[in-house]
Amino acid sequence: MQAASGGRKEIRMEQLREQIFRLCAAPGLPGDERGVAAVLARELAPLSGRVETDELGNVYAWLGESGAKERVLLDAHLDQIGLIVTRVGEDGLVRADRCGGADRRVLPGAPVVIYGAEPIPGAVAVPEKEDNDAPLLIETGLDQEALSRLVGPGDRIALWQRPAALLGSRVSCAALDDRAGCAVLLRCAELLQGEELSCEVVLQFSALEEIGGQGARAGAYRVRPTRAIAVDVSFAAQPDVPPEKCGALGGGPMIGFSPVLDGAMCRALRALAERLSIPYTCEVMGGETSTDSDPIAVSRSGVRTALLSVPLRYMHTPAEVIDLRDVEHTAQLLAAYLKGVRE
Amino acid sequence: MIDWNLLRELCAIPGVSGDEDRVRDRILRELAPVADEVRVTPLGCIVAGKCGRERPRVRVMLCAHMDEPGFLVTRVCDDGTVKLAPAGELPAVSLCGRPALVCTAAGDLPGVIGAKPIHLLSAEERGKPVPAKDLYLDIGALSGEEARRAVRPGDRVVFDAPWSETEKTVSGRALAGRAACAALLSLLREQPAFDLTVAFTTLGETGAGGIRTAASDVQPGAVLVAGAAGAGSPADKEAPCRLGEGPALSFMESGVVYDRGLYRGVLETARRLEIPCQERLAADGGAAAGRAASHTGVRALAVGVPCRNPGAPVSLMAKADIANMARLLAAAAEAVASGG
Repeated sequence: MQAASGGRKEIRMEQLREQIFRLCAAPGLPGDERGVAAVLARELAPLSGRVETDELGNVYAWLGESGAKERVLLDAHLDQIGLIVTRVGEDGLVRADRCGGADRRVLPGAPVVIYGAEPIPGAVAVPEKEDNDAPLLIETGLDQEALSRLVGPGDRIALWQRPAALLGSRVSCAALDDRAGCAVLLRCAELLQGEELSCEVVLQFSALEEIGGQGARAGAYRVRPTRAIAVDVSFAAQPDVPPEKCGALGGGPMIGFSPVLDGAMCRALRALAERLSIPYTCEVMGGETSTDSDPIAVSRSGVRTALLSVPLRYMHTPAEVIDLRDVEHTAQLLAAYLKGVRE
Repeated sequence: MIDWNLLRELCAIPGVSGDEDRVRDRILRELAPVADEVRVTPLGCIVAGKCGRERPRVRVMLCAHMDEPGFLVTRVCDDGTVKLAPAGELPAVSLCGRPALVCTAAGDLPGVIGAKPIHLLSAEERGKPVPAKDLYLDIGALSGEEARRAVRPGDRVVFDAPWSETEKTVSGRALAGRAACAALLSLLREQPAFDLTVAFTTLGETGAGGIRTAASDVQPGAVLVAGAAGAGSPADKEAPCRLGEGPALSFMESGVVYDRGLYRGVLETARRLEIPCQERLAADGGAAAGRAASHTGVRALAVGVPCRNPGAPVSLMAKADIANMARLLAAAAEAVASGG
């Protein structure tokens, strides 16, 4: 029996890995999330009868009992950090700035893809001298004439990424922040299939988190939830980071505690994790969380909001790492919570 | 004609100094049908002979190094991360937060070179390169035990990066050394005017022991060292050389001054045959190869394919420069061998 259940678990991890790689392979830069939104719509089709998009690029999927008194918003953000074209120079170099909080240290010599009229591979030039205010230069090997046909100011640029299966259930890819959260919501919807829910659930995949959370703000305004849980990534323990800031790879969801989060919901999630023996850690923050839970909590008259985070290493680099078990455990905790929401 | 698919293949093969076997095997396969004599030296260099239509007055050796900069695993830590020692010329500004490959006895294993999240950096740390001693590799191991089963000290680590091509350029990892290898392979497909020796050397990134021993082994009368020359961006007015303007001849690098006669002769040959060629307008750069090539007392000259971001995860070169490198080396070898 045990061997069989172990086998099923492995197959489940395999499917999860492939789904996450599909989500990461599609581009979704702040304000231009169409690529990943299209992939997501396909993944959602078998799970929800009502999938919608809005003007900002958010994607919504509705589950549970339509018109129930409790409407729970689950949020994960669609966008990933990257760069944005500011100018195509006469010298054939593309000038760019950061779009979201990309780490400047990982940019020199980094391969990128410019999403112009077609995807164009390039690399960030290694600067002649250290100057953090100098514009980023991107070389593509194309001359100015070809470039000006294909690339214009405002085009988004993604860091090149290579989905990779590491040892055990760890995976690495560039956009795991927050495609890991998107995968949690998809898996949660899968776990809820065939379940009788007493609440309405809206999965909200928000645009624009990395530059300020406008997607989640507009989404919460539209959905009018009675409560919300945001699912993002947060810091997993790694050698150069103080342990008090961290969860751990394989340590399960990080349950957020912060003045802006609803204490009762956070404690309920913690109690549920303990009851179900789902591993978890607590992530305690002294103020805003720098996630979509901040704008959601202050939507309209206010929304009771919790935050679950998947532990992730090397955030905002093309080398992000997560443990697939944490995605699964976060989804299980979310699904169990939703089953318990009663009027 | 440069075989771009072959260059793409060569760039994909990891080959950090001292672990060039797989690059060598691929080059040996390419040499089998075109070289008249091929042997491998004790340090792993390939020495290939090609008969010409005539015997040379001066025996010329052309060489290029097969290895690339990268890292060696030094220690597996108890938390499962892996410490690294850099090998060769890696640009200090572009090391952390990168996808990587570890070459283990059981095959290549994906990993990443870690970086502290930007959100947790102090003001002093922001935008500052991480020194090599503070780097570590993550292969997804959660314990030292798990990591030690997969990785051993001494295993080589390289950046993983994509290949791309436009009509005029190629871009990829390990391009700095492999483009010169591809240029030498392409000229070996034609019969030279004079007998020619071509060496594909090891250890180019770490002291040039490969070139030194190959030169000692071959005892040539002149050596042309093919490699890459760091090129400026089109925005850089003071660039020592530029992409698309032909292979760059070095008159000096820090620690070696090249033979003036050879320098002028090769420049003259290029002008006579209208092969695009540029003078590298700088006296800096790594001199190990040039010194090693001439250590037996022979004349030597370094010729580099202009290269943007050498040693970075991806470098960029102009296809015309690589093709002209092959033309120039063939013509220069002929001119030198004729005793002219």
